[in-house]
Amino acid sequence: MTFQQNPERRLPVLLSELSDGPMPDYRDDILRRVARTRQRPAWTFPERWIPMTVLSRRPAVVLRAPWRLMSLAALLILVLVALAALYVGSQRRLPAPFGPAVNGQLANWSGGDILVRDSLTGTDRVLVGGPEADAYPIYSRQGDKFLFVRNYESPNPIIMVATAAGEGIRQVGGEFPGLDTIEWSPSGSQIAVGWVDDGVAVVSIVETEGGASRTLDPGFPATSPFWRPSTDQLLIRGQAGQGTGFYLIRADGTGLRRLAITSEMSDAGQYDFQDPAWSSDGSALAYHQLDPVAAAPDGNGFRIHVAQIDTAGTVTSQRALVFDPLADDELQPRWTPTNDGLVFQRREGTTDTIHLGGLDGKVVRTYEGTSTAGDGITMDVSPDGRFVIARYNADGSLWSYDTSAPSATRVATSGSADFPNWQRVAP
Amino acid sequence: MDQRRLIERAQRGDHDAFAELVDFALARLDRAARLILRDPELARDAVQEAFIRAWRDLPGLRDLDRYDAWLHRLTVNACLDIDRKRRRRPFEVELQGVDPPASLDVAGSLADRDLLDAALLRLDPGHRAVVVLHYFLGMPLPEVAVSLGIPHGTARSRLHYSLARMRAGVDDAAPSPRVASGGTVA
Repeated sequence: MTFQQNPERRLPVLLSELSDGPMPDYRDDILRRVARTRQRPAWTFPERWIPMTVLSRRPAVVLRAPWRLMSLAALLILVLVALAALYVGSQRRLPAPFGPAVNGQLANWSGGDILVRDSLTGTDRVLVGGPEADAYPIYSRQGDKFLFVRNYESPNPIIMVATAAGEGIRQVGGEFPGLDTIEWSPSGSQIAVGWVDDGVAVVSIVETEGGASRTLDPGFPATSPFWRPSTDQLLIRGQAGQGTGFYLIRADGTGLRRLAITSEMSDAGQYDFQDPAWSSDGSALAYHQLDPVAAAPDGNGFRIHVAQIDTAGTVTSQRALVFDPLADDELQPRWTPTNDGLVFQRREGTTDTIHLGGLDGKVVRTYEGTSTAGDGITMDVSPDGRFVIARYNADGSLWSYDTSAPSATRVATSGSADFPNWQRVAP
Repeated sequence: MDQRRLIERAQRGDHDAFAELVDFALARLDRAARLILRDPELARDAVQEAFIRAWRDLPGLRDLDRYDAWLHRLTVNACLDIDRKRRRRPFEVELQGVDPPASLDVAGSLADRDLLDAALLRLDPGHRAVVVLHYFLGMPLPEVAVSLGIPHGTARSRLHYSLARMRAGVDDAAPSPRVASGGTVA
């Protein structure tokens, strides 16, 4: 019997023969690298859970004063306005959950403590210290509270919530093995959590008051929940039917709908539908996926796509934004505050750079600095849209860019601080 | 010591336990990676990367019975990542260290290996991974699907496609019986 006659039956033996060789001589190299590597759960990649939605112009609200109201009604309105002004004046002002806001504090973590600083050039101070292993602070969208992960090195981490001042620390929900994504709801009353329940990727909704949680049941493994601005819908990434895709689902578990976004690659699998980012009005979704790229020797590369999606979840248009057809990869899109452009990462081989591109597919600005180690860049846009902050993952260095200028400024950090999360504050 | 105990110890940061886990799996993963990438140096990089990721993420592994499938997945993913990065490099380097097999039909087997070598080259690494996991590592197809993070149907169709393409490659390479080294008709 030859391989030609029956390849399936001969394959195990032939593959074994074909792969036969000397015992690998790099065992000690592996163990040396392991000795220098700190253990951390898979969910601890910051780019996987840091909120990706960025900011945009707040829609103008136009009040129309009716001419023919009776004077009594006008007086009543004035009284109500005065009462409302008194009430608002007595409350701490909060920013809208989406749209531009003032830059508040930056939260970070190092050595199991939660740190904050007042500005990029400020000095870190400990907000939550103690023996517990705490990490990954994320402010709510209105900036009045934050969450963080406790026991972050444990297989069963938990989520804690506190006021922005670090008071009233309490656990919400239970343990979340395989924690993947944490995302505040727009109002801050709920947290969407992507985690692994008994080997299956699931998304749970946790109430921040009372800590109750329930797991959504879309009927397939789901990850990466992201709240859609101005709706009660969540975007989730799941596998069902013919493969990976984006779905919308309401926080109460109803209204599941697959977004009719297509992939040009018939079998791109894990490389499709990555890094989703909603525009601040929730009308457009940017993401990257593997596309055919004629200039690449292997014929494919990551490209950024933008899909317009109506409130019912119908994809009304979709297109690829190719800033450089010869680029290896263009990925990790982040909307600009005015929703008219995207900050993104370009990769050539193992070299990563940051760029600002317009929705016409033209690069507006290329920022200075490159990461050449192939470990990528984690980045985000400040609440006011003036800065891009970027962490070169290879050496952990943190940089800031004024979005209107190409030059970069090194940001001083404490020890092994990770990628910071920026608090949104009302103007 | 059984593997489960070693994994538990390694999850708690025990380097010695992890070293034993490396010893158990290194040769197997190196061979699998060489089959997928067809380049021993890149395979070495992929396996190293897989073990580094395994060490780093091991505390997050909840179902210890799935350790092997998880490690295979890390290795395959590392192979595919490296394959994507090498796109601007010249393609293919020969496998090294092919020892004569313990087979009576030495020449026939060598010829078969040549055919297999050529047939594998017709596949992209994603498809080669399915073939290697199923036929070399002996994983059932549902487990291959889990290891690669793809639906079962996709794994099945990839395997079907791979075999069909390999058969076509064999047909192209050997339209008629040929004389292999040693004079045996393959």
